[in-house]
Amino acid sequence: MIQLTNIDKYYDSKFQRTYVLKDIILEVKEGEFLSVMGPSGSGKSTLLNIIGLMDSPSSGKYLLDGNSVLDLKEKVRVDYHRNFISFIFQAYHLIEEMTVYENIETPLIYKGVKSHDRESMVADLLDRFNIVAKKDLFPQQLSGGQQQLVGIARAIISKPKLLLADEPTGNLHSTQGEMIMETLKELNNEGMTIIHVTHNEKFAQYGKRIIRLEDGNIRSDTNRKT
Amino acid sequence: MKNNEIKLIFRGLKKNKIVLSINILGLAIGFAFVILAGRYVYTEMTFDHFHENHKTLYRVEWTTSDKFTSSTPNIMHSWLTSKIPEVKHVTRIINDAGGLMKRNIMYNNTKYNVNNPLIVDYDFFGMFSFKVLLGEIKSFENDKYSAALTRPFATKVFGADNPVGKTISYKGELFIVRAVLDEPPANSSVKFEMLLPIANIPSYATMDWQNNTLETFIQSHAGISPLALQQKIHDGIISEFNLLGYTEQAATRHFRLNPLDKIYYSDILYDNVCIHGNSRNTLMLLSLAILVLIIAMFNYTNAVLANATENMKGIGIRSVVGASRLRNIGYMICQSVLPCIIAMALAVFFTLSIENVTGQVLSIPLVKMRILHFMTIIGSTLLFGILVGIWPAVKLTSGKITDLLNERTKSGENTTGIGNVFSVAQFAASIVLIISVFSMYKQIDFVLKQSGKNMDEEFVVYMPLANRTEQKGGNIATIQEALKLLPEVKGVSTGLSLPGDEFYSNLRGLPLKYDEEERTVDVNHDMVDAGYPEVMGYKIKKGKSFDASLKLDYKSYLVNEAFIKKYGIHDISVAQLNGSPIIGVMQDFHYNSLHKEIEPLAIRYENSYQSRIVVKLAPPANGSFSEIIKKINKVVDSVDNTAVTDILFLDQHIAALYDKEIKMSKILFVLAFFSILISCMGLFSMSLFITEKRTKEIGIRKVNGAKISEVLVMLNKDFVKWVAIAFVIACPIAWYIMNKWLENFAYKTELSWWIFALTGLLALGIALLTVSWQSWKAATRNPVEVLRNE
Ligand SMILES: Nc1ncnc2c1ncn2[C@@H]1O[C@H](COP(=O)(O)OP(=O)(O)O)[C@@H](O)[C@H]1O
Ligand SMILES: [Mg+2]
Repeated sequence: MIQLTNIDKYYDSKFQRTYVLKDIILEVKEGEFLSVMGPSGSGKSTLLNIIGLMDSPSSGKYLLDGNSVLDLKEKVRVDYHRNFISFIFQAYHLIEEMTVYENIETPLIYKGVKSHDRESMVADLLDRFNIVAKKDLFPQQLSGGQQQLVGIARAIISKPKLLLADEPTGNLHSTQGEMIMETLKELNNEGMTIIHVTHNEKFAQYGKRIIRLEDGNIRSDTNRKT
Repeated sequence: MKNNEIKLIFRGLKKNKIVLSINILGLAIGFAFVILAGRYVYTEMTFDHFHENHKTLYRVEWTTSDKFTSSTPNIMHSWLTSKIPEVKHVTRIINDAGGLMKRNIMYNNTKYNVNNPLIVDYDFFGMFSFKVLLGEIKSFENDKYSAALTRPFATKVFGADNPVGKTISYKGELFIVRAVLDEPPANSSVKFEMLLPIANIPSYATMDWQNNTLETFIQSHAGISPLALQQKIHDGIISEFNLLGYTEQAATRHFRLNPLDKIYYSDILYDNVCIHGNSRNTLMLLSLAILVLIIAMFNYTNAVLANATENMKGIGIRSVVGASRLRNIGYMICQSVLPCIIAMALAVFFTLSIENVTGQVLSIPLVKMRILHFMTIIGSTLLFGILVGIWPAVKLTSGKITDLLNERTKSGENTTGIGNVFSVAQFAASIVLIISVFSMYKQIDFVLKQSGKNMDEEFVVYMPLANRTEQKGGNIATIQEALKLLPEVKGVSTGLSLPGDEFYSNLRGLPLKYDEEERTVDVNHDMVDAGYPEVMGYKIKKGKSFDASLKLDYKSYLVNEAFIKKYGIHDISVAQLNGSPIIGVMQDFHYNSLHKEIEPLAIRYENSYQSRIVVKLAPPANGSFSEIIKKINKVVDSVDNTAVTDILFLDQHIAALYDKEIKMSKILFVLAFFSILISCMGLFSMSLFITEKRTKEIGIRKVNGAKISEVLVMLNKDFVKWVAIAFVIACPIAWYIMNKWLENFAYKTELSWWIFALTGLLALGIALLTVSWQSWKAATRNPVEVLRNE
């Protein structure tokens, strides 16, 4: 599904060029659950953002679902974000002015789904994550774990093929973190491809495959024995 | 834009309630000024357009090489009617209260002053679109004793009663009110409160081609070329002149047709039928109003920018979950348009509720608002909101999504950078306005003090004689005698004109004989009764004043020092002016306004042309003249209650010479007040924004031992710097503008450095007060609490 070849990412400042990612080669197949680990500043987020079409590499090739996705037109990128890729963030990134319900519903509105269909889709997810009672609350009124659940609900409501999660448990207590990881695992079992970044060894073990980044390079790439 | 997005915008706006309301209020003020200015300009630009026939209506005027006049002879009417078939209608218009004349009508034994009673031909009604509300004007065709009143005037006289059919008395004759007309709109050059049929034309309007006493308006048939018609009329009149032997006039006069809708901006100095505007004034008022809008717009742009940076993350999230760039731009523009709409609604409400202030206090004429105006207002509001919102929207959405999410861009700092420039510009504009207002006040104060020098203007009241030409001297004399009996009255006399009359006293080509040498001179000329110089408090420097008991003094002259100086007269006893001796020299005083140097003045002892009774009063014990005015009124009415129209103060009459300046200074005062207010609003929200951003820094500094005063200094330093820069920019601009303005006066005050200094301090003080409120709150907050929240 994802094929990265010789991906570089660097920033030029006045006197020097700093590489964040260097010569990354990575393939991710449909249905994988990949954990990305590595010290702070090693380029994990950058890699995830490139995969998620939020950032573009300085050089290299990137095939997504068989198509080259470098230098995409705005319209095509938006299409990918509407239908193919979704994100979960460490800081949840919910829209403060929106209620739980509205936050989850938003991607559907942008996708142009009819209001009647939206209602039932949101209701399903609220049910699934046990947050029906919270639907009219604003994000600030929820606990971190609950906010992240809303974040996941919003990410998956458009039924994406690929779910990217950047330290989704980073701000959570371990029990809440576990709950989130269980949810991701479940989604993966339903067939969703997931790439998630984490510092936590235990949470990394939820992934079927773990790669470790260091100074912009992939140091190790291991499949977890089951 | 979908409903739910608007809902979201409102929720977002609620979050920043304080800043937002400040900005909306500021914007509303700016909008209000522009609405007012817009209406004003619209009024000015559409003068006389409301007449359905305005495209075929003209006033006949004539020019010579140095003169330009709208006065035409009575005979023009019949000549045009009989000789020029292209002319469909002709009307003469005479203001029966023109010049120094004042008129009143009597109804039910009560006297009502009537402004601009116009005598018109029956054609008047077919040509102009003054609406008849009640009754009919048919009788104007043949019934001399018909009258038509405007509704406000009729209401003043008759209250709720139907005026049609009622009898009023005017100049001692009885008229029947036949019709009530709508008040001439604000954008009508022709103003009146009463119309009378042409049969009432005064006898001085003779049928001589040389007697230019009235104005002539024509309506041409449709499709007639105005230029050809003008040529034909000109040629016709010139040949008429040649026939009559008026060869000089035939050679020098040029007759022309001035289109009705151009009359308002014509450069005519003296016109007692039509009012005139000044396009420079219009432009100036408009630019000042736009200045206030720009000041308000700076605030708003700042707020929109700040808001946009605060919402960067939100925009990023929207993009991630699938919003297109266009959609985000639309959303951000809506965020800027919505408050504009609220502000505009407020502004419309403001302007409608202060209609009286603009009309009466600032005497700015405004036409009534129409649907078209509202549409324009809505359109411009949307445009304004879009213009302000589009730049940050386009800029923010052009970056990478990750930058938005991490708020890593520099646009946050950019906004405060632009904010600084805006604040400096705002304060500079406010400082210019304040300095101008102070300097104008100083000059006006100086002018008003000077203009009464060497006379007793503050103790003199005057009474315009009503129906002057019909006055039978007897009553006027009786009134004067009766007034002299009042203990508070120090003197009574009569005269033709007064200091401050300006246009009416200019006389050219008066013969002056001195040392056997004869020439003609130009003077300000007045004709008065013997006691007049003393009542007015004119000071005699040489010779003596008029003596009523001396037959010899009759028709002799008093002249002023400027006269003696200009015409080189060393010995008045050998001078003869206009065939009469000069018996005394008065100390110079300002007969006209201080815009001009003091000119030669000659007053002649001749009491057969009188238009005012002047009365000198003793200084009142309690400081108020109102008791004595009542007494005078009673005495006058007991003799003849139609004799005079009013009792007026001379100092107010003189102050009216500076109406234009006083009005402008009032308008500037209002503008200065609001511009500084809006600037402070901007500063306030700016300081709110900045201190909020620096909360953590302040906390850390305090934990490390910074004192409150040090934090305050740190926070306020920048603001002080801006005001200082603004001051430096503003000073030369204000200095230049005020110097230009002062050039209007022949007598002027110096621009004072202390006004500049005071304004600078004032601006600084206001700015510091505004930001300190916020700084103080930030500086005194408990640092532990601040840092814990991080
Ligand atoms: N816009 C940028 N300009 C310069 N350096 C950047 C920029 N964005 C990220 N970096 C640098 O790239 C490196 C990798 O960042 P990131 O991918 O966020 O690391 P991680 O997520 O592994 O902690 C960091 O050292 C960071 O400072
Ligand atoms: Mg990271």
